Amino acid sequence: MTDVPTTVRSLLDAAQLKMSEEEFQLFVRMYPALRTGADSMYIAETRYEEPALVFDPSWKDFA
Amino acid sequence: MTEIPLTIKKAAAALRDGQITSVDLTQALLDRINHLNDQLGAFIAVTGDSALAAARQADADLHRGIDRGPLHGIPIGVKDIIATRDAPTTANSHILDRNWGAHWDAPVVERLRNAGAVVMGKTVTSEFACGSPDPDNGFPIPRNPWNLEHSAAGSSAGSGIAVAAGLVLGALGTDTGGSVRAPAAANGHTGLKVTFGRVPKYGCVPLGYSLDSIGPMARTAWDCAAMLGIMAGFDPRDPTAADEPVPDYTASLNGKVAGLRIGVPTSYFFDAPELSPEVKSAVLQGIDQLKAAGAIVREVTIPHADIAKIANNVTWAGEAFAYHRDDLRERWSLYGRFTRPMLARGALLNGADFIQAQRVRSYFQRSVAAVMSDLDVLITPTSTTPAEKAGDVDMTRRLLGVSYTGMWNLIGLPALAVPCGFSSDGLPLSMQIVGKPFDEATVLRTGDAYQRLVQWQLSVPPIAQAVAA
Repeated sequence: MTDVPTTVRSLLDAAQLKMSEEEFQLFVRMYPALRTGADSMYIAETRYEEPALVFDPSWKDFA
Repeated sequence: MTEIPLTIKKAAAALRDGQITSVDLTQALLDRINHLNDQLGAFIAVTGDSALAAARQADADLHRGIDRGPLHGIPIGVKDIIATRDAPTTANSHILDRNWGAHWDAPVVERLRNAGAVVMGKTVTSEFACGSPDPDNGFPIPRNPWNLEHSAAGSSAGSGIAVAAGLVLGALGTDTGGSVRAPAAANGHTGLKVTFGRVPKYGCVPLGYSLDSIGPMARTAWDCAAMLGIMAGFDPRDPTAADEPVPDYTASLNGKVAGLRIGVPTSYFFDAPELSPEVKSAVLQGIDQLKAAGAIVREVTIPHADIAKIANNVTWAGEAFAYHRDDLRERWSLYGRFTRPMLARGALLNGADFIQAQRVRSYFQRSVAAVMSDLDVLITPTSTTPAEKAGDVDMTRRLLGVSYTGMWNLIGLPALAVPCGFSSDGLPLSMQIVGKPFDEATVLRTGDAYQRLVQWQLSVPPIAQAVAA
């Protein structure tokens, strides 16, 4: 498994984002919590859930 | 001239009673802006000449018996990410094309002008409605009128300050994860995040395409209702605008909450260690007051509210990064230093994360619909704490920490921030009333009924009292 700075560098390079070393370190500090947060979304309750790609706030399907 | 009314409702009555003219009101508020704006950083552009012209027209109309409704002759502000014909739209950024939105009104502004509202200018926003103020970026720094050392929150900070300090009687904000409600809470007034699609957002710079909404910010729920009645309704230029009927929102404000079913989600919303005891106490007291007035209150559980809040963040991170990616590549340093990490973090997430956020959205919408099937509204705190000291604001921490607003954007629900007290050091406290989709009427009725029991919404910051005197 790659270390956090290497992962972050790869992701930012892939996006072609160029920044100072100080800013890069900010992303390195941010990344673990961001990744943990994103991973926490994969909850069991969504196992068979369809994504809301066409969003309708009306609740008409739940009436 | 008579004393300047605090609210749209009172000003509208005074205009019709002949106690005040729109020109007098507009000029008095322009004078206040002139006195206070350097300290408060509320406006980036003031359109005094066109405001006075609109005020003269309003006075002439009313004199001839032409009455365009409660906003006729009322001074308002417009957040600087919404197009207005008489002032540039900058998004408080050096990035946005200076021709964007030039010389035309967004539909929501057009509707307000057609209703006789007097647009006073563009209010300060966090850059592109995200991030924190950057003193090196050349734009005004918004400051909390209750304590200049504290944050005015964001992103609709200028609109919040302008309403709280009495520089305008109403303003437009936008809300993607709390950007109407957070400044309403920090600055001590009322602010409504509307149902997604309720108000057309064509002519507004996007942040999160599937989350953004334009909402009214004003001192009271009644004033927000009056604004929303004009702002709401379908517009084909916004593909997400809802073709739903627009009720008479002020007509539903009868002060009655007898039988109103209120859900109080204790878990996450009231038991988080980050929640200030003062905020918690004030919100619970507000709920008790509604209960004493006849509301039926019961504890409920909103499952995975914390995950829904994260899904909101992941969604807008992806949507905002799509909008900004090329500019971030090519003009990184032109963005503010606090904006860059907020927008570029979208590069650290992947497509599956975005889709999973939309699966959480489906799940959470279904879950909340079930919880609210026998409720009318939910009540929570708006923010975990009173306004932080400006230097203590850490957007990254805020994104990753407990928050009570973004999950409602995820599923598009209306939510009203209502002042409910003051902290021991004199900063406003706020509670949030969340309703069912397109049921702003019940949310506003609840807020209005509460505001008939209390006076918090009429409190004026000392800095504004000094100028008024």
